[in-house]
Amino acid sequence: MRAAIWGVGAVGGFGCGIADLASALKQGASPVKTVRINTIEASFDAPGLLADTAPLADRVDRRFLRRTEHLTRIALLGCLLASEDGRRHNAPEGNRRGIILGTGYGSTCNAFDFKGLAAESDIRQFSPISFSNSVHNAAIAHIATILKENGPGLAINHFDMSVPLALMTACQWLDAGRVDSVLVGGADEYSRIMACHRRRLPAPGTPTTDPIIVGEGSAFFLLTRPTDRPPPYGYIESATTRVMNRQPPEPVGDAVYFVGVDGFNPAADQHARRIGKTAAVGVYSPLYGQLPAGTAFDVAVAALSVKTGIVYPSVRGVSTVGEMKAAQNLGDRRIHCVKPGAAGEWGIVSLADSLTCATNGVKSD
Amino acid sequence: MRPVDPVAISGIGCICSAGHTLNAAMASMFRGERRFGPPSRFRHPLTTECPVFAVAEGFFVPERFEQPATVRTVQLALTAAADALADAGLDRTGLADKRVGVCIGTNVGGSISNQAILGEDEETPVPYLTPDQRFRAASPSLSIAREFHLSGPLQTIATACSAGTDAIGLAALWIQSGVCDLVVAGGMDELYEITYNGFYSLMNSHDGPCRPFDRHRKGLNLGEGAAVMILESADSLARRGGRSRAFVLGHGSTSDAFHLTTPSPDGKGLRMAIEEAIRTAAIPPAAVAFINAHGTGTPDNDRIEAHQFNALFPGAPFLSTKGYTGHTLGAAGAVEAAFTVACLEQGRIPASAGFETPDPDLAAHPVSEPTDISGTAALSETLAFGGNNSVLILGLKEMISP
Repeated sequence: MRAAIWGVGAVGGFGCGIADLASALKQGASPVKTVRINTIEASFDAPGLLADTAPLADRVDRRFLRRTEHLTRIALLGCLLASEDGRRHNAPEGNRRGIILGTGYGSTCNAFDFKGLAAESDIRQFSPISFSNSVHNAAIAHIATILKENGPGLAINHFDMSVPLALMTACQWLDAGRVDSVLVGGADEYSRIMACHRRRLPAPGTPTTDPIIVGEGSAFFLLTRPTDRPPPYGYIESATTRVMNRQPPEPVGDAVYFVGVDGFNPAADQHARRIGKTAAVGVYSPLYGQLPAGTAFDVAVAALSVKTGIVYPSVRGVSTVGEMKAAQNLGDRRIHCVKPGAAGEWGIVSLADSLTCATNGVKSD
Repeated sequence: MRPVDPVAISGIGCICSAGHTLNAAMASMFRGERRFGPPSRFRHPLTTECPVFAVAEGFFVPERFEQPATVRTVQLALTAAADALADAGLDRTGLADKRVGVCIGTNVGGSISNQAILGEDEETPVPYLTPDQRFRAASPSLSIAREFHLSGPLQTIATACSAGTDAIGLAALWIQSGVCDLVVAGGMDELYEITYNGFYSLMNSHDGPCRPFDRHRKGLNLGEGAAVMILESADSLARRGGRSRAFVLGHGSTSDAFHLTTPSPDGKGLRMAIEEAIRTAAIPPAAVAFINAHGTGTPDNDRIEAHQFNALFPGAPFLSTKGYTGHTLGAAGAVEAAFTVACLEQGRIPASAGFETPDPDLAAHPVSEPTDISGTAALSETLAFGGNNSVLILGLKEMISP
C-alpha cells in the first residue's frame, strides 16, 4: 500500500500554498486573528488561525463560488493548489481520478438553521442550495464539478481520524486499480461550534491541556501509484488507524515522529514525550491550529521535509529529549505522522523519500 | 477497474419501519404493508405533514449491550450489528483473535453530536461535553467497536444517501486488500428534524405516501433504520467453520460532476458506476436477476434510473423498496443491500410499493406485484446529493454464470 506524492496544496492560518507553509515553519509562527462569536449566552472574542480563500477568485468562476459555502471554498482551494503543484512536477497522467475529503466537523455553515423553526415560511425562506450545502459531501461534489472528474468521490467524517482514513482509502483505491490518481486531503472550517468547544475546554496552561488556537484550512495531496520516476515529495508508505486503548504506539527504528498535539486529546502531550524518549519529535500544530483534520498539515510538513531533506524545528515545546529544537537533515529516515485520537484511536501516516521496506512506525498493531 | 475477489457476507442485521428484523421486514413487504405516519419525535412547522416511516418503538433492548446508548442512531446501529453478528454465529469471544474493522455510512450520526453545544449556548442548560465525549456518544462506528471490543480500523462515511452502499463497498476492499479479517459494515440514520425540514426546503418531499416510478410521483418520504453486514475473508470463515450467506461481487462509484442537487440528465454518472460494478464482479449484465433501485419517487432520479435500466438491463425486473421504508438516507444503501440478498434467497421480489400508474416518460417500469426471479446475482444502487452514484453487485454464489 504505497502511493507517490506529486503535488501538495495547503491553505490555512499560515497563508496560501506550500511556500507560505515553509515560511511559517521557518518563522515558527502564524498570524492570529480575532473572531467575534455570538451566542444567546454571551458574546466573546476568540482567537483564530483563519484561511483566506480569496486566491480562488483567480481560478474559479465567481458565479460558481457564490453557490458554495466556506468549507467547500477551503477544500477547493487546497485541491486546486495540489493539482497545480502536480502539473508543475509533471505528475503522471491517468484516466480516472478519485477525490477524497477527510473532515472532522463537515460543513457547519447552516445545518442547524433548519432546527427549531416556528413557521412553514421559515423553511421557504431558504434557497434550495442552503440545505444541500450543509451535507458533508457537498465539498466533494463541488470539487468534482469544477475539475470535471467523474471518478469516485468520498467524504470521510470520523472526527480526528478522518485524514489518516482518507489517506488509507486513497492508497487502497490506487492499489486496487480503482483510480489512476487521487486528490485526497483534509479540511475543516472555523465555526461557532469549534470556538465554543475551545472556550469550554480548561484554560490554557493547565497541566493537561494545550494552548492551541482554533484553526481552519485544508491540505490536499495528488497521489498516484509509484512509477519509474521519483516523485518530488516521496511516498506514503502506509496510512492506518487502530483503537489505542489509551496506550500510544511504541516507536521503532531511526525515524522522525510528527505528533498531532492539538488539545482535543489531553494525553497527546504525554504521548509526544513518550515517543521523544527514543526518537526525534516535532509538533507543528501552533501553525495550523486546533482542528480535527489537522493531520493533513502534519503530512504536508512531512512531504515538504522529504522534498527539501530538512526537518523543521518543532514549533511547540514538548519537554522531551527527542524534541527537535533546531532544523535537522532528514537523511534516509522515515517520517511518521502520529495522531493520538480524542476518542481512543490513533492514526499513523508514514512517509519516505524512496521505496524501501515498509513499516508503519510502531512495534505492533 | 479489474475484476475483484468476491467477499463473503456471513451475517446480516436489518431494522426499519417494515420490521425489527430482516425476516420481519421481508414478510411485511410481501404482504404489501406500508407503515407510515406523521413525525412524532420532533417538532416541525409544516402545515401539511409529510409522512415518515419510523421504526416502531421497543426495538432497542439495553440489556443486550454493555455500553449505554442514548442517541437513536447509535441504538439502531448496535441493534443491527448485534443481529448481524448473531446471524454470522459470532460473539465477542469469536471476534477477539481477529482483525475486525467497522465501516459505517451515516449522515445524522455525523452531525447530531454537535447540536447539543449549540443548544447549550442558545437554549438548554445541559452538562458540557467535550468534543471527544460528543463523538463517543454519537458515532455509530465507534459505538459498535466499543461494544464488541473491536480493534479497528473504524471509519465513518458521509456521502449522503449513498453512504451505506459506499461503506459496504469500502469494507469489501478492506477484506480484499488484507487489512481486516472481518468488517462490520453498513449504514444507519434516524429521523431528524433538520433533514425533515431540509428536504422540505428542497421541495422534494411528498405530502402523501411516496410513489416511486409512478406517473403521479411528487417526491420522497423520509424513513429511518439500520442494516449491518458482516463481511469476512475466506480464511476467517474457513478457520471458524462459518458459512457465507451471500457475496459482495462488485462495487462501483462515480461522481456526476454536474450539480449539487440535480442528477446529470443523461445519467452518465450512474451508467459509469453500474459499468464499474459489473466489470469488477466479472459478470455479464444478463446475469443480473433484478435491480433494487434507489427509487426515491423524485421526478429526476426516477427518470434517469429507468433510462439506464432499460439501456443496460433491458427487461430486467426492478423495484424500489422506499415505498415500504421511506428514504433512510445514510442507511438506505445498506438496508436495500440486505433486502437484495433476502430477495435472492427467496427467489422473488415484492411489488414496488406506491407504483400504480406507469409514466409514459419513463423508459422502464417497476414490478407492480410480487414477482418470481431467476438467477443468483442482483444489483443494488443508490444516488446521492452532489451526484454521488454507488452500486453493489450481490450474489448467492462466488461465481455467476451467464
